[in-house]
Amino acid sequence: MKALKYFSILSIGIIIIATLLSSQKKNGTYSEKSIKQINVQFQSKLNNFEAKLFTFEKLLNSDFSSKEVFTSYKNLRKVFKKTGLYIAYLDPEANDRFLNGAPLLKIMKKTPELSIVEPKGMQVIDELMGENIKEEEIKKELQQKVSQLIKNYKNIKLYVSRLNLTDRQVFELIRQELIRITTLGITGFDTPGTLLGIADAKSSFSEMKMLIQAYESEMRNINRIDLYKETIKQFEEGIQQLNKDDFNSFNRLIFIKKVINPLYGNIKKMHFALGYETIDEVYFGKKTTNYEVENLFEKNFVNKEYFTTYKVEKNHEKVVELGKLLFNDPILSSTKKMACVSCHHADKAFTDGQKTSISNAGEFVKRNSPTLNYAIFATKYLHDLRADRLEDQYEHVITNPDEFNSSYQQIIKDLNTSPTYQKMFSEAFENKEISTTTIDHAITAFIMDLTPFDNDIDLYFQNKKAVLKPEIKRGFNLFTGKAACATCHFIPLYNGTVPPAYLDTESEVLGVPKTKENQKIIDEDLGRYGNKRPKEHAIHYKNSFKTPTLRNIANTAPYMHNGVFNTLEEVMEFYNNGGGAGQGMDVENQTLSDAPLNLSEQEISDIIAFMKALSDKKQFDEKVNLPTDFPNKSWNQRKVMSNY
Amino acid sequence: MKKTTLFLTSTFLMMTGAFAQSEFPTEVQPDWDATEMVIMNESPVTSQILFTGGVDMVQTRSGETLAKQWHDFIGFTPVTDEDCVPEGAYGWISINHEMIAKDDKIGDGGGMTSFLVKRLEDGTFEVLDQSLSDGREGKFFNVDFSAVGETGMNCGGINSSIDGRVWTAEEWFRTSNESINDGGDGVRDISDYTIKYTDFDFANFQTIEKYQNFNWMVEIDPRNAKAIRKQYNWGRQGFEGGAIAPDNQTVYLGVDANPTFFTKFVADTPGDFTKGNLYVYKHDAAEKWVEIDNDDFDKMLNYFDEAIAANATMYNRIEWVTVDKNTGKVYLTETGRDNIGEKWADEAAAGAVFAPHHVTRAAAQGLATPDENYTDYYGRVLEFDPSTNEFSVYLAAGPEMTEENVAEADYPEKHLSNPDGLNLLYSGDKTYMLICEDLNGTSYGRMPAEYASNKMCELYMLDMSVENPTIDNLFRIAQTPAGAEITGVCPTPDGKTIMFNSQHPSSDNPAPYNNSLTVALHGVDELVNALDVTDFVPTSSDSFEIFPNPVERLVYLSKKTDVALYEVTGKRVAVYRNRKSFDVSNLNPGVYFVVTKDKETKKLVIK
Repeated sequence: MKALKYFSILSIGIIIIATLLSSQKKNGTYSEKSIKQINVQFQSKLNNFEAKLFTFEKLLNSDFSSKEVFTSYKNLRKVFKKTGLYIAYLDPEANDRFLNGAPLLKIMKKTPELSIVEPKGMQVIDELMGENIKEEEIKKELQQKVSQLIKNYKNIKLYVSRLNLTDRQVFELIRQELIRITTLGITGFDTPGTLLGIADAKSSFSEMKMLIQAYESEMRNINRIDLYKETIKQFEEGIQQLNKDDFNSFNRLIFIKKVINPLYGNIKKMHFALGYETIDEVYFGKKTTNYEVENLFEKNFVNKEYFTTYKVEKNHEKVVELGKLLFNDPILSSTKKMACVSCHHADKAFTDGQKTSISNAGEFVKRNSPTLNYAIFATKYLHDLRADRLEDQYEHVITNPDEFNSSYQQIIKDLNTSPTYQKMFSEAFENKEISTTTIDHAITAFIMDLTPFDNDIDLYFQNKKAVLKPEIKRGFNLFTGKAACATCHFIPLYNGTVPPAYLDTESEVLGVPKTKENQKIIDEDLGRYGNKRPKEHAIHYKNSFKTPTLRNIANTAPYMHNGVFNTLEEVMEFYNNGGGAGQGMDVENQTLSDAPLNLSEQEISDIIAFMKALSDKKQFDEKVNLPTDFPNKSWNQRKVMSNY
Repeated sequence: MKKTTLFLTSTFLMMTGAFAQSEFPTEVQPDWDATEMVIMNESPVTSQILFTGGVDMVQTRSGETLAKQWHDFIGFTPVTDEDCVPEGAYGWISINHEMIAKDDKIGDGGGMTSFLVKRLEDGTFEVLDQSLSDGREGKFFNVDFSAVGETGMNCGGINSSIDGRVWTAEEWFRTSNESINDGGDGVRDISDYTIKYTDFDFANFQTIEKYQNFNWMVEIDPRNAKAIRKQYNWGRQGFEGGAIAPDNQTVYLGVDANPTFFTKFVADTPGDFTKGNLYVYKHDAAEKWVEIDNDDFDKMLNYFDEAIAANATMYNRIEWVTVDKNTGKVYLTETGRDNIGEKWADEAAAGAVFAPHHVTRAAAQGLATPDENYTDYYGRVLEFDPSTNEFSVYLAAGPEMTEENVAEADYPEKHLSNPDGLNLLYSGDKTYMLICEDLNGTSYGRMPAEYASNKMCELYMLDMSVENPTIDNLFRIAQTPAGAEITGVCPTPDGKTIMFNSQHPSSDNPAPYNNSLTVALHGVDELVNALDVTDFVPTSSDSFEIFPNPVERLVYLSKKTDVALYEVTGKRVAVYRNRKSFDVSNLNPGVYFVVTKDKETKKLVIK
């Protein structure tokens, strides 16, 4: 005991001396450190890209050969990838709107009327590069898009070039780029026309490596040259893997496991070792990702607290317990027979196995019950995206005449008659009363904990499982490559919440048919277009539905918003044929490519094997003891209606 | 001595190699006694939540129900000697609900809520019980619009500084019954509407489609919680703001649209706004104002087309309008729009003319006209002088990125982006402008990279005695939780309280802030005094000094530098790079150690 005390006094002494000395050392000023060199590099990249854009534009306006243009385009992309990581980090909105947004129509936010904007930038250009550029119409459009980009880039450069990067930002932007490469780069999202994603990633890697190399002497100063060398080696390993530049055969599984995840961890370790401040010391609001997490497939990589108004309480376990009880208690509905669990069964990943769910009158409602596991990771809820948060979503069930047919006021009144409930609320929420907020937060706390991240793929990437079956490995590579699944179901969440910012949950128009027998006739459900949000009443949202997570998909049949497909085989066939439009359906605004994927039977079965590996190990149950101390005695016999 | 230290340092480095490369170690053992202490006092301002949508109950003609959400404009109507109200009652507060939703009790559409407050001894408000002439009793009352053919998307409005009269603006311009009906979830009664028994002979017995009865300015009576009249004589527009001039005769009107025009109404008799003439502004006309015949109901229904036909002057989204009651000058927020160029090309081709400041700006951007390449990211506050009938830019939001200021390679200290709500606070002999931001976007520096995921809007105050004000003269007095929007800023006539609404809240808001709120900031008179006596913008100096501003919750630095904050345990908790000030609103009260990159230190006590 005594020894320990002396030891701590000694170590405090050392800290004091160390602090004293470090505060007096004049080890070069800030501007002479690594960051100075990095800022010079950053400025030159901004200029290079502009120069390459001019070259490309000039060529497009000449009597070119397709081959020349393609070579020039490849060069342009190289420089773009060495520049884009800075811009996307420093001005994500300008990047999305002008430089590299997805080639889809978007809604302008904050305008006095519904305003739809055309996509602009490199992804649109890439799509055109995938076409025959000798064709007059394509050529004209390409010329126009490139000169538009040049104009817009001028503004972007004007703003971004006057910023000075700090060390913190350098490490953050590298880690953000690693997420981007994994989720949007090597999956083909970024290059819808040319599939140059692998070559792109190589360019990004060489830029990131250069950034890290700037820290060699600083790493030496702190005696962590080992960590530095290991990191550089990982970059080199990555570049080597990326040298096999073939989109379909690229081994993404190994690349993520051996290169991306270790790098994502190491960059953070370097950042912490050098002692530079982190985002948590600069911005005090909630963030969508947790900076300390070292692995993209780790539980807390995406910060679920961002997505809810519920702030994890001191008594979180009690809140979750209360939430589970409310979730399973039909006291919430007017008939006292229906509960959340009626349509969300724990053994089916909180879906109900029905084509579409069943109403309080025993009839089918409009849509299929979605899984609640991992549901927390979204900024839009319900198939038509009409609610912004889980908490906002409950209201739609509670007040729906076909579902709970009740109101918060009624529920609060009823719950307050049970001493058990009163006590549980008071204990969970530190004497706060039963209110809309505490009810919402209890249920949300329960749902947000349904995220074990322990399926085989997670465990494999978390280095807790050494081997995966070969078909699962092949399936992962197809899912993230040739089959283009991961361009909408973004890894590692496999849902439509778009990385690397995780701020927007997307919807897609797939041309889902009304019946599987006749896949030329679209389901009449308007989806997002009919969600009653005046600012989303845009034609391109017609028949558009939220992209759900594919985690636990083996347990969530039937599939699609209307449950039209019973098996994963049927689903895969639909996608392999290019969705509705690919099968001759009259749907103009399909966001899924209508080109067939040309997947072989073996490939389809591999993808399904992979999807089946997305099932959580942890099982959840529905065991609760419903309070029976309601003065209304008939309620004390209440049971969840399960058989209709 | 210095050499010795350096020598020691390098030896130590070689021996341990344990030093971080950041000039701010993650842990320090500060010498608390040897450092000068500076105190950041508590803000003199206290906040009070007055009214919460979805939580408070309102009294309707059909009983009690939960209040609507989406709070926007706030009007304040002071109690007069003629009013029969409880002892000490101070005035009525009226709140807009910017929405269209069905509601069996409140009525379909949007609506308003009004309530009466009394100022208590501690300066806060108490919402008083009232009994209205129609028999309703309670604290919060739904304004009854049934007599004027319902209402919707109640956004901005007019609050007369003369007598507190209130008009609500029906924004979000509607072009079909389908859009107000919203599949049965909005205004359910979409049968044709016949205007009857109004003060407007030209409108009486006109039968219009239901949606055409929306998008007017509507006067309400906050005392009886009931709508008085739709101003069919001011034209049908997607109104946002307006103001009554000190003559109680002239009304200035603003519309949030692209393009938009500036309108005035001049009443024949002061205080009677049912009769008078309507004009649209045209800067290049000799008389500046072109009359639009407001006895012609068709012209009132199609005001926008009439304005174009008059070749009126085009603006980029006018939001709020206010009049200085002492000078008579009119102030308008022109909030800006990223892609404005595409939006006014047709109208320009049809003869409408660009406002001169847009032509000047376009020229600075190397453009002949404000065409599709023209950018207007930040917006501005405009000043209109009725004595000259001329506009000028009163306060340019920004700072805007232009070639000239690229050399200034710094993230600016203050940003004013997309000004929206606007009001004037009169305190002593001074006038203060209150400006609410409502960000249209985050690009080009409207938000720094680390905040980009969360738009934050701020409420600023400007001492109008400052000549040629710039954004450096702004004081921040409130900040919404991330993602929320501040709207409806409204000072009370005694200059003691500012009210505002926090609308469309986001997930960062702690409960119960996920509902729309009306908040009152009390103690504004003390705030104004604090602003007057302290010079918070120190001139550059070599020595390191810190100047806490308890109102703004900002600590200003005597020079632009990098600083780190350490808490009492010696742990680094915040780092600010290349800044002349930093924000402490997110820090817990306590003692902090402020260190610059050159190791100058101060002790900061946050109360």
